[in-house]
Amino acid sequence: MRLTNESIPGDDPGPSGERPVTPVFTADILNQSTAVDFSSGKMPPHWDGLAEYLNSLGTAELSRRWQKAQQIIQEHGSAYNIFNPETATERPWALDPIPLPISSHTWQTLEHGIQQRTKLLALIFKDIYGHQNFIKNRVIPAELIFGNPGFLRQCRFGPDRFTPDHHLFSSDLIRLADGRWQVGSHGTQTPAGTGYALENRVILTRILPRMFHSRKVQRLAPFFKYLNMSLMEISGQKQQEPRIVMLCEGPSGAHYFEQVFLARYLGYTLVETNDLTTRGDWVFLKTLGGLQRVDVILRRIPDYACDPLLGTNLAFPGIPGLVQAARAGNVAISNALGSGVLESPGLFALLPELCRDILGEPLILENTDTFWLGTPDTLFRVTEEIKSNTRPMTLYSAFSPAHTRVVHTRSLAGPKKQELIAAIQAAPYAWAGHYPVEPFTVPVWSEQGMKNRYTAVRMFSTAITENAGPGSAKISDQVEAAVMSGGLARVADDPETLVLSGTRGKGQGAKDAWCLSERPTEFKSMLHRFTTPFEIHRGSDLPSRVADNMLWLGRYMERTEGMLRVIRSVLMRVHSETRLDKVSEMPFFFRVMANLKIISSDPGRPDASFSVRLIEKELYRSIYGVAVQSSILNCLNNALQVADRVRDRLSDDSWQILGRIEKGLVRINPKNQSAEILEMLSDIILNMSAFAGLALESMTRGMGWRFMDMGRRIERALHMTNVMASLVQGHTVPDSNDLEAVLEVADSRITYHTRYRTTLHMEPLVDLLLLDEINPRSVGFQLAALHSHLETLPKPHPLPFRTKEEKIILDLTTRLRLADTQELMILGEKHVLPNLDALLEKLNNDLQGLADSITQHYLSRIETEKQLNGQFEGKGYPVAGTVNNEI
Amino acid sequence: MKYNIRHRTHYQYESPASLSHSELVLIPRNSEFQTCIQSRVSLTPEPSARSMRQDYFGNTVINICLESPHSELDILAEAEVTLHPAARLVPDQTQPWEQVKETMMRYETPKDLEAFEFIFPSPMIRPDKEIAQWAAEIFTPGTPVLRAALDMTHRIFTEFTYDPNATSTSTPLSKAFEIKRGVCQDFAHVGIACLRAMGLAARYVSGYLNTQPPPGKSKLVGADASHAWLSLYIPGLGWVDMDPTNDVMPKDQHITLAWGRDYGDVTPVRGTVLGGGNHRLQVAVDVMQQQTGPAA
Repeated sequence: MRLTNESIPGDDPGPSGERPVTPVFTADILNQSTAVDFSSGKMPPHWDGLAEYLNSLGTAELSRRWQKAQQIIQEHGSAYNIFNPETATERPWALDPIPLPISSHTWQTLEHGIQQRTKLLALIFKDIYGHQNFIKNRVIPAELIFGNPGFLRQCRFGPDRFTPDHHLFSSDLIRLADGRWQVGSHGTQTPAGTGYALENRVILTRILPRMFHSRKVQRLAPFFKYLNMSLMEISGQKQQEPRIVMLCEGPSGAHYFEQVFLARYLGYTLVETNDLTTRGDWVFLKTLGGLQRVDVILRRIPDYACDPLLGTNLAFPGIPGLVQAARAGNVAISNALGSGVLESPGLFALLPELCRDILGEPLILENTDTFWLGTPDTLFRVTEEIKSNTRPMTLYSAFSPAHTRVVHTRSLAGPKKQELIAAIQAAPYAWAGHYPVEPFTVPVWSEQGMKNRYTAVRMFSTAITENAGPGSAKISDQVEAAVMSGGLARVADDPETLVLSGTRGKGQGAKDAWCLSERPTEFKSMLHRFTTPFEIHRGSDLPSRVADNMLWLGRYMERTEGMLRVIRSVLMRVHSETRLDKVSEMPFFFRVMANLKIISSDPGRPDASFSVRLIEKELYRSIYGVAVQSSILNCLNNALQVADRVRDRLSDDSWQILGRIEKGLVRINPKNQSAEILEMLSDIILNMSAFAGLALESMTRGMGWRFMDMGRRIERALHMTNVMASLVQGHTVPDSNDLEAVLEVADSRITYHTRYRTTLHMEPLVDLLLLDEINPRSVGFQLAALHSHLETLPKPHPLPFRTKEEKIILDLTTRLRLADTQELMILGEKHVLPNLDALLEKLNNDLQGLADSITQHYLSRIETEKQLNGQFEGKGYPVAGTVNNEI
Repeated sequence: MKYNIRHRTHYQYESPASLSHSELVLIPRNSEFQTCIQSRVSLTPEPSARSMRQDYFGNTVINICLESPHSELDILAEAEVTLHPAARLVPDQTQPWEQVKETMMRYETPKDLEAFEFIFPSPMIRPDKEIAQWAAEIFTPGTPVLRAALDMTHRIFTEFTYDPNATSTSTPLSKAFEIKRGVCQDFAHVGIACLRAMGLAARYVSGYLNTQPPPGKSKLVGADASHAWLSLYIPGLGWVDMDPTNDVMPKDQHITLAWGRDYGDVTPVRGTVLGGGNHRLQVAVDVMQQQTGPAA
């Protein structure tokens, strides 16, 4: 059973020969699987090779590798939406380590079949949004198009459109037990799954590397290369690299993870609708450096959410003017707006006829048993079948693939049946359906052993259609199509969920589908325009929205860390053996906590009757209180939510740490013992420092990092100002315990004591924490850092004067540099240290002003357009009697 | 009959708006019954981008974009239109509505196919059980189609109350039908929903109505308003307009701007704005009959 002992790094063939290896596949499991065809008397080679290899690894080794894979999945951030507990959606399509092999012979048929369908769909799209000859010539029933809410009449741009259309389609295939392959539906608008397929492949190459050497598994990369070049092609850009953006819904979208993964892989900027704006029929990306033109939009949001001027759904802000920009030929959108109409189940059922009529050849891959009720024969047959209950079926809208109303006739009671038949007869053309199918079953791995489950394969294809130039009446059938050699195999217990394309993949598993080839394949480009390498950009084209989120990520993280340090110090004292009224620095801590809004008000100096319970209760509330606005829980949640919105900008390691913080957070609850809480707080502080460290070490010094660091610096300076202010707000000159406490929360104890091996004094402390520009905790250090950030931020034109935020920072830096510590130490009447107090107040106000000013200057473009009130018709009516009434 | 039309739409913003996009359907289209001799849409301030196109239904649409700060937007549409009234039809001599429905489903002629688009639900006119029931009461078996349609518009005229405060542009059709109140737009929508429920092709017509001042008074400037009615397609006869708000069949007092499946397809002014705070909208319409034409 063992394969040759060639050594491949990372592919340890498993435990050495001494111990018996438990095979992964038992004969039973393979015999029961309808995917494996034993009709020739032996296992087909594409299964044989896989079984042999996996059995040589054994279950123990596969299990070990699979655990490693889980880690990779975690690293990829695929633990889906963990940061939004309310909206937590289970990640669709949990991966299975056993791939689905597809023989090279089968693959060739599938490839040709899907290519043909891709071409057919692209031609239909082109016609119904063009000259509509197929409708006029009765090739396509008009009711299927005109009656479809997805047919967007505003997106029919007429013959003088300039950009060719690019399509990315998905095809859901099943294989029947008898070996026939069938197509069940197509995704034609924003088909999901390419990113998951890619990620699955990345993971499997890590755990089963040998298979990718010894077996001829076709790569996925060529497809994405082709996709990329197709998008460049439709940009119409000939001279320079086009700007391609991927438009998605954001973290709330069901497939956000895949979008992030894909955008990173393809190198496109991931944007949301409010990152884009149109000016004079062109589309722009709002970046820190100003507006930058967008040539191509790979959209992953539905038509109706794209442009409010489409008037289809006013709930979505969209990008006003987008349709007009596309109409003017200034931006290419893929898939084209309005392509959802092709997902019509009614149209799908007619594909065999349409293929013959349009391409003049039969469909290579047959449809699953689907039908459209718009023809009298089918209508008669189906109604008879419903009445007699002879053949169960599933019925739904002929237009919408969302299957909002799905009827299974099997379990239909008499009156319901009558109702259904009446509804169908009122508008038969609006109904489509299918008979049950039984897809093949494929072995799926679990620790408890293998199990056969139903499987369907989603394959992806892409096509470009040329568009006839102005005045041309000819329908060009120039379509270039390519199919991804691989796919997303979807696994489920209920075969029905695999057939309805509208189901989101919840509860489904996934497998990596391997298309095998006889010999290694070579990638040949079908497009030649962009053969020269591009120049490398190090630009600052960060979307303003991302910068804003980065700024707040920095602020929330730093704010939380500062608060945590204070709470930890207080908790340590509360839990010590000393009574609180004997802890002389307690009033200082109360003031800090009140200033930082950790507690609602300063309880003043504790006396002997002081209730530890009371303060403890308030402290816990400040940690896990959901209703307390600035509780640690809420602050961290804010930080994590902001991080979620810039997921595509943070490294995998950073994600892991955020994940740990999240886990730590979940552990916080009122039942914790005090010792536990201290430990948890320390854990979180450590993780937050790790996050900060990673940002320092492994983030490129791009604008994203700068904004995050600015947020951090602003908060740290504010925090330190607050701590120092709390120190001097007391009625007496701070004593050495107070000063020690300040150093403790400022994490500057060691620095101080190595510098001044003496007792504590106010003057050196002020110098260390306010003025010293080399202490990373001091206000001076933060100001210097902010200054250098501000100098590198992009400015639209060279300004003859400094910006407002530059003026603020210059003023503050100068004040600190010129500050005389002895003057600051002058004692006063009303305030203990009036000069210091005034300086701190000035710092506090100006730092807030600085944050506002940065937002105003760089981030105000985030605002979105709103709808104008509609014109309300009529005011003087009715005017009966004043018009000619001729009836 | 010749008319001059002035339609002024004025948006006043509380604070300057920095960007706005609008779509204007303000240029009267040509048809069998109407010729637009000249038309002009003037904008203040001048937009940074402006383009004109025919939409799917053949209406003229102007797209504009303003990129510099503006605290008001003034849209003035002026047009000169000649009407060629259609021959009068005898409602009782039209074919039964069932026959029309069947002919529509066959869409054998190009004109029938074009009209076929208008038998389906549209974004603002969704199928509604109550309306369908109401329609079925009116469209009794064998009734000549135009007779039934005019009975229907007459019922809207008598059973519905004109009330500008009852509905807004976003009130769903079902609500307007339930409260039996609204304006011309709602009445047109109810009528269209009714016809479509019976399997007939009906479209929404946006336009103007020539109103007469009360006897003895001169016509006030800006006293008119934009108007809306509906049109029914009868194979062989073509499109027949009917105005449920006034219980008339438009002849030489209704000037057509544009038509579509519902108000959403032909909204005269639709747009978005960035900034601007609250805004105030003022609309003034003047329909002036040219004295040179034959008397009404």
